[in-house]
Amino acid sequence: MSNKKWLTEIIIATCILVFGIYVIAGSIPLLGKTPFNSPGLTPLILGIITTVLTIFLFIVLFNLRKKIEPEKENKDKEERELQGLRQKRMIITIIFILLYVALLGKIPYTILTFLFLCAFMLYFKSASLPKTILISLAITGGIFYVFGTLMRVPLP
Amino acid sequence: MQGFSYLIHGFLNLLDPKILLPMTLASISGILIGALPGLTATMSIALLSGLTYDLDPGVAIPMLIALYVGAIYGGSQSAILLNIPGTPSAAATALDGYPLAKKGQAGPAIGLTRVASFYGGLVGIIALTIATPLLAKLALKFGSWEFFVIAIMGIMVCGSLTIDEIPVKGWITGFMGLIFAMVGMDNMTMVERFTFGNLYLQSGISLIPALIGLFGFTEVITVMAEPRQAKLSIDSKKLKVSIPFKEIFQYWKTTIRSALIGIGIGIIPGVGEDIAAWVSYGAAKNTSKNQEEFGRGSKEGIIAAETANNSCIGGASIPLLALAIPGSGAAAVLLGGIWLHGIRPGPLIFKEFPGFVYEYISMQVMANIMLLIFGLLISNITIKVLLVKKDILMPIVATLCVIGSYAVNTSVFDVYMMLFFGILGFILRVNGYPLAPMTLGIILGTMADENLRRALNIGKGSILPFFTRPLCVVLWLIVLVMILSRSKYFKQLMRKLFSKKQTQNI
Repeated sequence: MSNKKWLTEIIIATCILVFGIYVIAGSIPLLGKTPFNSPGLTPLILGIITTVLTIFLFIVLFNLRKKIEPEKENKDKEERELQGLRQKRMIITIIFILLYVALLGKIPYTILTFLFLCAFMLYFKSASLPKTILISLAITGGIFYVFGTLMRVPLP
Repeated sequence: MQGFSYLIHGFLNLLDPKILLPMTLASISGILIGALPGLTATMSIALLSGLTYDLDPGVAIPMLIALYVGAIYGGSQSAILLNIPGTPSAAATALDGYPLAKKGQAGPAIGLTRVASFYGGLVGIIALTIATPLLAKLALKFGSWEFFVIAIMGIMVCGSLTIDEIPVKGWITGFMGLIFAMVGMDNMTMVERFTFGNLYLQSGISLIPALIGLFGFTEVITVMAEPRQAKLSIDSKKLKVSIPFKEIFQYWKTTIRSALIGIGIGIIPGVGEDIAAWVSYGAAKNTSKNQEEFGRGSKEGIIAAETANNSCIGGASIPLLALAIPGSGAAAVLLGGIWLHGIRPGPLIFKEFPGFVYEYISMQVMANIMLLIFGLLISNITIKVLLVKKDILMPIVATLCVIGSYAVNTSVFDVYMMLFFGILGFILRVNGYPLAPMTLGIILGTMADENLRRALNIGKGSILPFFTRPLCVVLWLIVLVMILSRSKYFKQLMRKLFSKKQTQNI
């Protein structure tokens, strides 16, 4: 495990710990006079278990710290480039989908879906422009027909 | 006898073209989806559940089952031809399938996976037919104490077995899933829990959008992040699928053992097809006369993995139908799909939905027959699908994730929910947290909550029955063994014991 990976693990464990403590804090006000019948009981127990397990995870992670390998300075250039490319592709994909979802209801669904598919495929150079337009049209048309016409779902 | 007539009736129903045609489509789609690296069985069932919510349950549920069976099988083709398992359950198949393909034996290897899958599927169905009524009958004797402990046991066992290192991560995601299930209006007291005053959250976390997020959205990001496109190991025109009957009969012991392993692992809550394939592969390797062939193109290895992952479907369906506790991640999503259509599996299923279990069995039989037929017929089409660029496929899957989660309640809020679980699932998955326990937690949450409080109410606040009732004791012992088995001290002890035995034998 590298130092960077270990730090990421610690950050995630901290987030889960905060989540567990939040659940405990949110459950206590829900406990009534008869706690065993109150809606706060189960979340309280689950919050405590999650918190205890996360503390245990911290112990495991701190034990693993001893095994941290020093970052290889001469890490393969190709591998580094690949890692950078992976992160870039991941972030761009998330941004594309977030934009698509954020615009739902603001732009007619069929137009939005067509634009999303076109933009996505063009950005990643998945196919030539005519092919991209054709695929996007076919998929949008298919979704519109199946959901809008056959299943009568009021599209967003 | 009544069960048999339900079975025949269910089977005849499936021959109605209105059901047969969609089921055929689902079976073929399942094989193709399973073959595509990155599109898992769990994800495809989650997507189809959202897409078929408006269909009649008599059509939608057979489609889901055909897709499930097809997708679990489909993963083997890309494992053999690309050395990338289409689904995690085909990972063990890749170990020997790819070397065989490189030796020019891709066709026989694919033929072998088809027959092994079909055989495994059938044995799983036999187990399902025999064990479900027995388990449902036994479950009628369970009290709230047992149901609560079963839910906790499911999370602990699933958390332990779905991760190699640091099992506590599996337990954490499981308990997080249980907590997510607490969101919304409490059914017993009508008090809001963790809704932040949001009207949409009052009815709780919408299951299908959450599952689409956890398995669909997460998969889209994971697959898109990888810039490299896999290459076929052989020329697609040269592929000729054949069934090597000789090997099938030669390794009859392996097939029987693998099918039984698959069923056994299937019954364990949330564990699933991939673990079944690995355990079976390991068992076959340890007992084989040709151990040196494993990993270099062993047909026995392929038979072991493929028989187990398909028999696991039947095994996973046993607790799903009798206890409403799914035996695998994919079965968990299937349970969500069945719930969506108003059918409530559980100990009372034979009373509340007489005939459903037998209809379910007939659907499984039909799905396996379709698997055998279409698996052989569309091999050359599947190979072409493998060449489709993921940069084209993934935006299409993303739009289906969005419309699938929207269509369930025609609510954009559900799409946001899908996104939340998708991003959460992605962060957790990248950092080695398994998602199957979280799915199980979301599904079992309500059961755990209601049974815990009901049990405490009956016992006037006493927690003793949770630890003194005989079945509870057995279940806690299983949990304890499961926790201990993951500690290094237990492993050291087992190693010592085995080395002692070996020295004694020498």
